[in-house]
Amino acid sequence: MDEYSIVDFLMALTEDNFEKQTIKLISEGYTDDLLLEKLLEIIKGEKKC
Amino acid sequence: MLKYDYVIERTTGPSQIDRFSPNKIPKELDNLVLIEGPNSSGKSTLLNIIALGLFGNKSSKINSALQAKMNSLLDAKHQKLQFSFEIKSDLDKLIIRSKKTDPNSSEIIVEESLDGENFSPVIYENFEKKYNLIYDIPSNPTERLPELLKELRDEQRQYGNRIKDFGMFVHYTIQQIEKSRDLQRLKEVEERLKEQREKKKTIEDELPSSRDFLNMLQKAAFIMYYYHYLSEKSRLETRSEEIKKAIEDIDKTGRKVVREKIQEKRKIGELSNKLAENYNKVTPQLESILPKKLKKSFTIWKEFNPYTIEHDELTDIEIEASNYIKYIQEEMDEISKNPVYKDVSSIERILDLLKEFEYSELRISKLNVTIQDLINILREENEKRNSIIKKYKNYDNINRILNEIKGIVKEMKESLEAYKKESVAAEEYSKSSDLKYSQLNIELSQVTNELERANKKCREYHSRCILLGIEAKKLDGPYAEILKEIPKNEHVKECLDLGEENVLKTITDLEGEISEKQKEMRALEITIKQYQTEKERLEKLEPHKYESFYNELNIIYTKVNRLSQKLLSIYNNDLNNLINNTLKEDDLKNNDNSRKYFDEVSKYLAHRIGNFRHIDRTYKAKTVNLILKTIITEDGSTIYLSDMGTGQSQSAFLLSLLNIKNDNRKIIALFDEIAMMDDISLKPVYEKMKELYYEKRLLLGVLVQKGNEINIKSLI
Repeated sequence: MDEYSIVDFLMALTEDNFEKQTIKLISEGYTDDLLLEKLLEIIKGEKKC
Repeated sequence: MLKYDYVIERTTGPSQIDRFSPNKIPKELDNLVLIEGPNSSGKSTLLNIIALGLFGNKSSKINSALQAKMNSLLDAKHQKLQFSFEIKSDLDKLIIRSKKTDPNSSEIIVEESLDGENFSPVIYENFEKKYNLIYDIPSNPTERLPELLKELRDEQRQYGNRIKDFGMFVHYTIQQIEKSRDLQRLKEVEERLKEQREKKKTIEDELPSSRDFLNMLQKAAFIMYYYHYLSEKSRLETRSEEIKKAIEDIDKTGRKVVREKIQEKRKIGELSNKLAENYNKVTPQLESILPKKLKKSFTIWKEFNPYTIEHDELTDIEIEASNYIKYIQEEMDEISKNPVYKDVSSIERILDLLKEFEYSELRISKLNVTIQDLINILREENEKRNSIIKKYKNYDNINRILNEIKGIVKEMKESLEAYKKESVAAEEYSKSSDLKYSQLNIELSQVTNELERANKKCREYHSRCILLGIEAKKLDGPYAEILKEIPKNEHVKECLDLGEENVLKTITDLEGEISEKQKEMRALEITIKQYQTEKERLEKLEPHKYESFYNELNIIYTKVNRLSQKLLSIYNNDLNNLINNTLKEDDLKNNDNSRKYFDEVSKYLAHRIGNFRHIDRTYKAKTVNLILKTIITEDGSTIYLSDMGTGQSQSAFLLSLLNIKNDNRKIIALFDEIAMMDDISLKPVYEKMKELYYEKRLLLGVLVQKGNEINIKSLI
């Protein structure tokens, strides 16, 4: 039986990569500072595209 | 290993207390165990105490019936509870223990030890983060499948709150950037400062010319209007005097006409009295002397009312009197022809002559009488002829009265005529003078009002001139002098041509514009000061490490807020509708977001159930539709929850409770009354629990079912 977690469930509901990554990073226990660093990278990456 | 003990003292009668403590089920049990036993053997009590000791009565995941049972154990009025238990992991050194030592208090102390020696207290919030207490009676599991959603809701909320907290952190960071040296903000402030200063300068440049023009216009207008109203005042005063005099003249003339009329009336009255007096005097005399031929006309005479005589009656009196005079004169003429009357007349004349000598001693010798004697003799002679004389004198007297009456009548007729004419004249005069009088009074009232207005205007413009700094003596001086004070300006002249009302409006508008500009200036000064202060403050600040990512942070803030909003509000509502069984298939037709959410929940539930047995096969759930109450399997079968055997659905339900991924919390699973499940249905549950146990994810698993005798079966 393949397992399906709350994270999988919430990620399936996200509308974009930013939301997906936010859920993922939170599930991995990121602190606020690290989470902000990571999300800033995502936003900057999105801007470049 | 589970070690436990408890004492329950329960009041069962007025003075009866029953005491319960574990005496059938061993006080030490393995970490994964199946307990079978008859009713009242303490199976459920054990599960209730373990759950209560691990904050089970506070967990929203545990159904309300079980929570009620836990809470009833704490009901100190009904029963007194003391307990203690310890769960020790066989695979590591983790120990968790709980105790309630005071039977009269609801205080429960929970402690944990990671090294098997040192214990520290655990509060509910921390316990929830580290341990997952699952306590359930899988009765009617298909009905209770939605309860899995409560667990989902709690976890979804946890993520929502975590994201919300992170949003607050981002917001705080943004605030810190705003409070720190922000180059972009500094640049913005400098630009704003420049803009505001330029605006202020523009107004500063405009204001003096506006003020000058206003001042010139005011001076010119106020001086001109002051003199205009001064001259108007003078003209109105003259006119007022003229009108007053004309009104006075009308009053005087009117009084004269009335006075003359009254005099004439009084004269008529006096003549009337005189007429009446003579009439009354002569009428009886006439009655005695008039002959028969005149008696008829005399009857008319007698009907006259001498006090209310009209003009026509006066003529009749005059005629009648003339007739009587004529008749009497004729009678007197006849008498005068009588020799006796002639003698008497002669004697009278002699007597008149002799009167002068009446007291003389002279004696007429031939007659031998004195003058006095002679007079006496002659009087005697006349006495003898007295009746004719009396008659004559009487006639004469009557005629005199009648002539007097005629005279009075004539005078009365003239007076009446005059009175009539004066009355007509007075009436005509009254008519014309009333109209004129009224017109004059109206005009006077208008002139008085205009004069009052002119006076007021004069005072007003005088004051305004003084306020403008024009000396009072100049204003009171010759007009030619003050004319020099009027500014010469083409624009002012054009304005003045518009008339007083428009000029005053222009002045008011200009004053308003200047006032607005001044207000704007003051506001700009405040704003400039604020920007200046802000600029200085920003220049002094140290830059924030995320200063250059201010915009990105705002984007992150917006995005995480939207995400937490979805989890905490939109999805939460959808989930509540599903839990409360109020969601209908129609609700999803026009709502793509809700549809998507529902589909994901269906998938989630299917994953939680995983493999399950139905009739004689094992299926893998693909989706669980809680609206239609169906399970769609991976091989495309549709199984209605209501068609599933109780044991099979219990099994599916328990598996769903245990199928938890990405959750590092230690599981404490307590399942009561699983008797409906046969060995085939129970097998996947045991397998799952074992798997979790050996993965060190299950700390304690206790399954309880009814049996004829106590039977403890370790599953590890």
